[in-house]
Amino acid sequence: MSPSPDQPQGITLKHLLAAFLPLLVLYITVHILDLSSALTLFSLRNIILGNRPPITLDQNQSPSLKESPDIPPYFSLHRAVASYTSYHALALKELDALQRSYARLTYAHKKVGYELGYPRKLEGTKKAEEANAKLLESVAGCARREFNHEFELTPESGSGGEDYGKQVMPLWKLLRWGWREEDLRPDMGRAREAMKHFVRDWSEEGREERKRIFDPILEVLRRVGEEQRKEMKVLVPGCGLGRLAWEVSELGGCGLRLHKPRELRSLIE
Amino acid sequence: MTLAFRFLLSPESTQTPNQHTVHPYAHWLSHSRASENTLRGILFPDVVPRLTPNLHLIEGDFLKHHPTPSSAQYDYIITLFFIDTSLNIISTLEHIHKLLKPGGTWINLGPLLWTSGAQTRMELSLEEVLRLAEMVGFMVQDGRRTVECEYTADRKAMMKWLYQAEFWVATKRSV
Repeated sequence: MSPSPDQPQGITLKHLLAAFLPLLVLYITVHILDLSSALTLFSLRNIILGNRPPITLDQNQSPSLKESPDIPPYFSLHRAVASYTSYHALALKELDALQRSYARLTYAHKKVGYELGYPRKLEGTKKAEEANAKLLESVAGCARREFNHEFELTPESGSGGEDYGKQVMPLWKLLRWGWREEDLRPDMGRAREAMKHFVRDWSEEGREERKRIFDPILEVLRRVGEEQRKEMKVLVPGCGLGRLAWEVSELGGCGLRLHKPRELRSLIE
Repeated sequence: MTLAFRFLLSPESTQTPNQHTVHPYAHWLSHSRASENTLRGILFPDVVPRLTPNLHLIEGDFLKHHPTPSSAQYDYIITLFFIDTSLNIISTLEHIHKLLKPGGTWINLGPLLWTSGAQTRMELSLEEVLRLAEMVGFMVQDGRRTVECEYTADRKAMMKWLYQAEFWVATKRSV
């Protein structure tokens, strides 16, 4: 006999399913999207509500670890170092994808590929990336040395980067934005930009590129008399790896440089 | 980029020219004429930089830079590929103006590639930036011109990304 409309209904199996089915779907979705390695109710809560407020890249906001203890701000020392130290693992993952794609060729086509030297090329890429990773580790090591006090809060071991890699991206954010720059996993973009900037600013290979943009600027400064230059104060904001400022100081003036902490196009702030 | 720069400045990390090698193009197999191009190693630094009494590194948000005793102490401010990284272009230009001595010079060279994702308050055209500069209190000198340039390009690649960057010299008007 069905309960009368006046009588309150108890919690039925239907109610329980209605409550938990979405969570179950969420759980499965998160795993399929490989968002988290260990899913607990706590992390589910974090997925839905997020670990912290949405990131607003307010220029007035100075990034510091103290602002968000769980997740470092986008432009921060820790994220930068994490990007450098995670490079090797991420690069290998990328390479793995290339290998798997190649492996889908038929046997006959693989023979052709072998003749072309394609597997050897991928092996070459792997070695090059290993060398890059070593370099980036050195850069990270320098950062840890020079910002020693900032790293006291986190483990000093080489896995500092991987910790942030395990942060869960809030699902609401994921659904809204897709995979964007705010992705909390360390990304290779920063590391790759840094490497390109080593070339642009401080290699013989980058000389031509520098000349085109430095010449007009240095020409203006050269018009200043040599005596006057000594008293001059010059500021170069957002100087990247500082080559321009260094060139200015070589002119004999007083060159000051200023770094903004943010730079994605640049790298590893 | 501060960390990368510090890596070159630090005597513990970098001592001699061309001490380090990087393979910045190894991961991207497109636009490649030959494998050896893609995989090539590039030596750096061509010269070893060091900070000196003439060369200081200041880290922090540009908008928060207020040198003592007075803010207006620079003869020149040079913005190279910088102003379009502003999240608020008005604040940036106002701050440049503020930091310059009266009659001081602002030199700019760069494109106008605003930060993506609607993160900037405004995304201005060149016309608008120049108009803004005037409003803020700059006088752009004659000789403004376009400088065609690249940015972290691979010289050997089959693809070029060319900027038509704008170069100008402006003076701080006494408001």
